[in-house]
Amino acid sequence: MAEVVEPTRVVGVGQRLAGDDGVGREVAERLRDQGIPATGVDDGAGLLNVLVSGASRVLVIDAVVSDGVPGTVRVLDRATLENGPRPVSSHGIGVLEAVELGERFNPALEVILIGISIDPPSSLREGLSPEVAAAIGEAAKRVTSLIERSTRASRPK
Amino acid sequence: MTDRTSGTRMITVGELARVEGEGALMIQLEGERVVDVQLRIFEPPRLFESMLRGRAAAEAPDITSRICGICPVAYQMSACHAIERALGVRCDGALRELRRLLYCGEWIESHVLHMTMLHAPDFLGAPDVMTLSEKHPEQVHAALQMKKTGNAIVTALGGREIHPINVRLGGFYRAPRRHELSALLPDLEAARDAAEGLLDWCATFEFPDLDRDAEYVALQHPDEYPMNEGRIASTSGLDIDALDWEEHFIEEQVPHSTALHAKIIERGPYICGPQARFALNAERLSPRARQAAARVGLTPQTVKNPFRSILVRGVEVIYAFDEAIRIIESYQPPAVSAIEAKPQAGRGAAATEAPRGLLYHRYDLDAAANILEAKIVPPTSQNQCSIEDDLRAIAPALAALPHAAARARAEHAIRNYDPCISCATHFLKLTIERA
Repeated sequence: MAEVVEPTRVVGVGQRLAGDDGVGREVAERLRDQGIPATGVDDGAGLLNVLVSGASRVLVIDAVVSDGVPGTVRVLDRATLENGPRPVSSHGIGVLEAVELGERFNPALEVILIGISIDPPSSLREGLSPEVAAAIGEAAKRVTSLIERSTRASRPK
Repeated sequence: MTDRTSGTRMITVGELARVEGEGALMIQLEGERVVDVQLRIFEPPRLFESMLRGRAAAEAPDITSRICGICPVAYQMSACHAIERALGVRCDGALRELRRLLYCGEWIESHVLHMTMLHAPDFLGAPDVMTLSEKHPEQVHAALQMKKTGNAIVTALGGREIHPINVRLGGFYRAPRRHELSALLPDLEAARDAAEGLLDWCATFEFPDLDRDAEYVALQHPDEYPMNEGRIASTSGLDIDALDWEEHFIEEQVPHSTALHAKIIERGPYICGPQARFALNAERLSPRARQAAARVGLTPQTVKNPFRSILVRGVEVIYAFDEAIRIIESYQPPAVSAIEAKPQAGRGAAATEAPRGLLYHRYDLDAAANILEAKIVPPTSQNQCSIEDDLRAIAPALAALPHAAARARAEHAIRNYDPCISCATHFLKLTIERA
């Protein structure tokens, strides 16, 4: 098991009632099964709660709509992402908006986004498509390796 | 979208929720005349009503809390109170106070988020909170600090800042020790001062005219501003026990939405939420919150303008801090962290005050306390008719505006109610430019 150096936090974002959108939550659950503390949140508002809690390094796993093959896992370059429209409800605060806000008021905060490609959700349903579900293991591995890299980097020389 | 070929003008907002087809607004105008207003919001509680059938009553607080990431406490509280009623259990003393404290945390988290991140940009013409934070960094920073203290309350009582896991029928799995709560006091006191500043800042906004002569529905309690307990009352004289909700309210299916529209039988639409709570309970606010309301000009008359709901939220944030501090200062841990309930058949109903309004739950249980039937009526479905009425009322003003401004004003009018669109997804959008 990888040793998590506090205060690194791992957060899986996802709406489980919206099909593949819930994949971030499933990755968080897989990590917990492996003994790695990981929080599941529904949306950017939940993520904001973690970002303002004093963490200095946060790994965020979220679904990403792109022209990539569903199930593709990658560390996202922030410059290639776009914020959605401002939601009418506090239930819909965007992930990117939460990250930008968290960083603005805590310049020491480092956020790494790990994206899993999905097709845009077109209906409300529970459960993932097979190709997105198959990516959970790889995404969990990617998080573990990022944690280990950070652990090595922070060990006293 | 503007369709001038048919002589009509359409204002559409198709992204209220990002699951295609599950959330949308359409306003159809002919000149200044409104032809049609349709607001479509999906209601996940309907899915959960069927999921709950056959499950043990003790599971309902945790299952229903999944409906909403912003107001899980409200779902847990309504479920607990409704089921405890069916089982003949009542939480008093310190357990009752702890539940009220937990609700204070959720009101703070939810209200501050909505006021600052979503509603304030409407008033100040900012496209998003990042733009707002460039112009008003102190206010946004203070709001994040306030939200953090709300989170701290939920974490101390609920076991974690998101989706509390420490709530159960009859109380809590573990009641906090005195020092665990008193450690929160310095931050709560500082945040309460900041809440006064947030309200005063919001009071400087310009409020569009809209005077709604609506019926307001909220809990009413003889001794306290309502959160967990009280009779369901209205400004037109309704005064009922939660068990009688279904005799006085009706939910109607409308063709354009999967959500049911709630109405008062033989009277029609009504408004629940902060405005309704204030209209029915203002005199039971703490002295500090009452003074704050008076300072920003909130009266039974001015509260009828839905655009001023941001001020009521601000007053309720101050009140929630006052209540949280009061409860913590007088806290003595309960003798037991939960009252055990014996299974029995029965019906129980309860309404509590979610940040955005009355949340009604009703459960029918069998002798083993398994759920035979569940009914959940969230505040947003109760407000949906009134939101559409507001949009009809401002339609002449919308007709006079350019499209982008009309769309922004329509969204602003919907945000007045902070509708619960729990199924809004939030996936990131990725653009890859290829050489």
